[in-house]
Parts: sequence; structure tokens; C-alpha cells
Amino acid sequence: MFQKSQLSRFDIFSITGALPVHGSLALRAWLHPHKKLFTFLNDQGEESDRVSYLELWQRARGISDHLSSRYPAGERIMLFFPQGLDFIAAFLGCLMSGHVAVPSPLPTRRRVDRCVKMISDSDARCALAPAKVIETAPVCFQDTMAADMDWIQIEEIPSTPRLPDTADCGRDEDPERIAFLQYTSGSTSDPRGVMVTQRNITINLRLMRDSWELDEESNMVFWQPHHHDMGLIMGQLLPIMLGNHSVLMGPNTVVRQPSVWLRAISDYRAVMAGGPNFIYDIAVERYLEEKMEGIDLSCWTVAPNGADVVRATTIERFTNLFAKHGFRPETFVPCYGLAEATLVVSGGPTRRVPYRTIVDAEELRISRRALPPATAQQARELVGCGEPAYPFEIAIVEPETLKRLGTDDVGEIWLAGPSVTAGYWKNPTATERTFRARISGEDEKCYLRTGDLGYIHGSNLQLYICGRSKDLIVWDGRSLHPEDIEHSIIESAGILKNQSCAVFGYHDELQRQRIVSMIEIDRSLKRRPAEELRDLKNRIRLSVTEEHGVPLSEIVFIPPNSLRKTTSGKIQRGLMRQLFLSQEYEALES
Amino acid sequence: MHNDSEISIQAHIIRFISDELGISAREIDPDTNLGVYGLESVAASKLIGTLEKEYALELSPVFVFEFPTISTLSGEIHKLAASRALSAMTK
Repeated sequence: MFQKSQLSRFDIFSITGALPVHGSLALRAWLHPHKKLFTFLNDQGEESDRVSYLELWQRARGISDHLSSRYPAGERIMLFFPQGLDFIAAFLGCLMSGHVAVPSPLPTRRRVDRCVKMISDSDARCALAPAKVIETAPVCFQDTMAADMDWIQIEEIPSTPRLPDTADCGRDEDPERIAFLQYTSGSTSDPRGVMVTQRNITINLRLMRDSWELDEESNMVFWQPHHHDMGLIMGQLLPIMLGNHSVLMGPNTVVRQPSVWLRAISDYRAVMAGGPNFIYDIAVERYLEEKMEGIDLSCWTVAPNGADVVRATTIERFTNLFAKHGFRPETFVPCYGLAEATLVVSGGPTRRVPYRTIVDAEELRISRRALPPATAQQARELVGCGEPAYPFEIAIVEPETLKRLGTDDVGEIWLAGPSVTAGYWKNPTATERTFRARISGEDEKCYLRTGDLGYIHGSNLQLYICGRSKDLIVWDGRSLHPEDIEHSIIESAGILKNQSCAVFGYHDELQRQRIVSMIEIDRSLKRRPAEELRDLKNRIRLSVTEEHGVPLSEIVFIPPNSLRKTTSGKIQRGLMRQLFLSQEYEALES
Repeated sequence: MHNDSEISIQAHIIRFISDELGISAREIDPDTNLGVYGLESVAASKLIGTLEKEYALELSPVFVFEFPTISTLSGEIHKLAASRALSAMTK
């Protein structure tokens, strides 16, 4: 390999830190072909599938050869897979052949819209899937523009029998080649496929490896779905760069029985395991002493908490409860990231207890400064989401004047560096607006606008996240656009006018995300029978659940013309949220 | 020990739904399909986990989909808990 008879540990670090990820797999399939790479656990936590480095490479290579024989490079390939080990072979196969992978959630008859939008936006003509998906999925697409897609059954593609060599490491491939499109940003009406390049992946994997001091001994346990960037990049690509053994399972397994997750961490002596904030809450709420027998978490040194608001109370409760099972407070690694920057932006340093700070919520909102609270009511606790990970540069910018702000000033988080992705697929306008921002008076450099508000602490250099400047609602690590939910509500009710509904999220006293809709409705509603009202609410709730997979906590009916709008007619969701929380509105219902 | 009445099981489930999904308890109807309230796979798995813990039962992962309303769910839990108590007594 690389004209060398053997590679030193340092060689391997620099080579895998520079190769495209499928090249690192080829290298490792040569270095340690029979080492186990992934083990998959079923609902009961029993091993149900496994794959070695060489086996995965040979499967992916077979898929790559097959795709090359059918489609020109650059074609988009939809990936429809249930949680399991077939997905990663298909994904890497696309990377090897230069096809653009488009990981997607599985379509269902009722929730097919988003998939159809992804297919039409990416202009994919072909889908890879296992037989059991092909039995049901194409039916979902009947009568949509995606009805005539080619389906390739993954089981029918043979593995290659050959062994990898230097040419398979992709050293000379164009690092700017688009590896995949990540469709987690953007609303259904305005889908945005983030173009993630080969180089973006390598840089982001490298910064996780180096910031958190991970290596081939750092076994991992992950459960996030692969169509989510954290599940894909942290859960399934990072192991390849590290050369470790990783254990995967389905999200439902963990949510139903968090002890399966914790037992896997203990049994496989995992160094790294994590997820969005809610998974740590679930582990605490569902704690059962008898299910914890023999579980020893002392091996666990990196527990990333990201993709959602990181809560001090969660960290504290989890740490206190699991201390008796060997969990250490310095294991928590709160982090911040987004798909537009590939994945992780900040996190660490490791081996220290997360930073926390108490600020004045009013000052934060009004003067945009992080100051000690004036009164107990105004106190809000924030968790430090890590230092900027090299090679990211973070700038905090005043979102209206675009002026650079100093430390401890709250502003929009802007990012620069080679982990920032190439933009939105076929959307030059949105790409220009989001990826090509310039700080006032510093014209030489382009930044990515994240839309998130935060500040960098003057002395500990931690990035603190204070909120979103967009109206996005984050539900269990997923971003939802209020306009999509409003659209569903108006469609479902049948009697509502356009622009007559505002949807927003808020956090209740226990800091749980709640979603509220305020809907303008005719005053005659008051005189209608109660059942009619209940049916209407049920219809609205059902449509939101079916189309977005989230519960609508409150439905408030308000009189006509009481929604606040801008002069251009845009709904002021932030203002409606304030009115709702301070109860300054007229409700049409007792 | 677990001779909980169906009514108290219902109340337990309503409390869970209200707490988990933020929907006021008075808007939750025992005969409405739980899917309406947004009890999707993640929350449904949580509910199964809670019921297993509370009533010391082993339930199938698709239990909530087999008994999709609060009435049918609480009826089935009541039956299972009762037969478990009976078999414990006759042992």
C-alpha cells in the first residue's frame, strides 16, 4: 500500500485524515481485513448482523461496480433502508463510484410528500433498497412524479471477490466531488439538499477524532437513524476513519429500553456513545435498578450531546443517577453543529466537566449581552457547547448591521473553514444568501450564516447557544419549519383561509418543547356544538401528526384579523409566541 | 399488588399522554385513536416502557398499535395484570 511494506501508527493517522472516507475503508480492509467493523443489535439487544472491514469494502465495491455499469457518475441515487448494516454498504458504494447518495427516511403511504420532494429536487432516477422495502415503497409513490423511478435490489448485487489496493484509496480523486445530499434543512415546500463533499466529510471526521482524542481502540455504540446527519457521519462514517469496532441499533430499541443502549456500552466497552439531549432524559426517566445489574459505564469517556438544546438539568440528573454505575461527569461533551457545516462545529475540550453559566434572560433578549441575572426569575442557565473545533473559525455577527461582535456579545453564529459544505443543491439564490455572507468591513472572506444566536465566552472560549433567529422548531433533534405545519393545518381543516394560522414552539417549565397553533376562525364557531369543535381539533392534530410526526400540544382559536402580521403580510410568529405566553390574546373558546 | 382498576390505568395513560405531548387532559378522549394526538413510534415506545415498568408486564413493541385507544389499552393491561396476579397466587 502506497509503495510501503508497512505503515506506522502516525502514517495511518495522517493518511486516514486526508483520504476520502471510502479510501480509508480500502486502506483498513488491507491493514486489518478481518477486524469487526459493525455489529447490529436487534430489539432485545442481541447481535443480529455483523460485518468486517474487508467484507464491507467488498460489498461496497460490488455496489459501486454495479452502479457504474448503469449510470454515469454524478447521478443521484436515493437510499431507502431500514436501520441495519445494508445502508452503509450502499452509501459507500455511491461514494466509490462517484454517484451522489441521497439518504432518505422510508416512505409510508401517508407520509410520502417529503420523499417525493427530495426525489424531484435531487432529480434522482434510481433508488437502492432491500427487497422488503421494494415490496412496499413503490406503491407509496403511485400517482406521484416519483412513480417511474428505477429500483435496484441490494441483495441482487454481488460483493466483489477482489482485495483492495492503493488505487482504491482514492488519493487522486477530486476532493470537491459531492458525496451526498443531506435533506434535513429546508421545508417541504422549499427543500434544501446540502451538498456535502468528500473533503467536507474527511475534515469533519478528522476534527471529531482529534478534538476528542479517539483512535482504533475507541469503540462506539450508536442508534441514530442514518438519514440524520449525526447517525450517518458520527455513527457510521467516523468508525471507518478510526478503525474501531462500532455497535449499532435502532432508535426505537433505545427509546423503549434505554437499558439496552447502556448495556451495549458496558458490554462492548464503548468509549463513545451519545445523541440529542432527549436520550439522556429518557435514560433517567426509564431507569430500572434491576435492569442495570452488572452494567459498568466506566469505559465511557465521550458522550456527545448535540443536535438539540443541551440542558443543564439533563446533564446533572444523568450524571447523578449513573455515577453509581461508573459514569463520570467529565464524560459529557456538549456540542454544536449543523448539516450546512457537515456535522460538528464545536465540542470539548474533553476530560473536563461541561461549562455552565447563569445569565439574565431579559438582558440576553433586549441588549444581547450575557450578564449575571438581575433577579431569580430572569435567570437562565446555559451549557457551554464546546470550543470551536479546528479548522473552524467562528465569528459572532450582528444579524442586521453585519458587524463583527466581540466576546460575550450575543449575535448570529457565522462559520468559515473547509468543513463548510458547498451549498444547497440547485439553489443558487439560497446558497448565495446562506453560504456567501460577508462581515461588514471585511470583504475578503465568505462565511456560512447558521441562523443560530450565541456568544463566545471571553475567558473559557466556550460557545453558548442562545436561540434561533429563524422560527425553526427543534423536535428530538429534528428541525421543523412552522410554515409546513401551518400549511397542513389549513389543508386539513378545510374551512380556513390561507395565512390564518401561526405555529410556534416554546419550552415549558420543565424545558420540554411544546408546539402551539393559533388559528383565526369565524366568530360563529362559539355557537356550534362542542363535538364539532372537538372533531375539528382532532382533524388538525391528526394531519400534523401524520405529515410531520410531531404532536400539536395546543390549538387556540382566535377571532378573525387577530394574527399579527408585518406590513408585507408575513406572520409574526415570534410576536404571537410572546402574546401567547403572556396570555394577551382573546380566545374564541372557554 | 397490581389490582389497579381499569379507571386508574386509564388515568395513568391520560397523564402520560398529557405530560408527554403537552395536550391538556380534558382534550384527551379515551376512545380516540392515539395517533390523533401525535403518539408516534418514539412516544409509543416510551409509553410501552412506562406501562411495563408500572404494571410489571412484558409487552410487545407493537402493543400500542394493536390497542390504539386509551380504552382498549387500559382494558388489555387490566386483563394482563389480573392474569399475572392470578398465576402468582396459584403458584
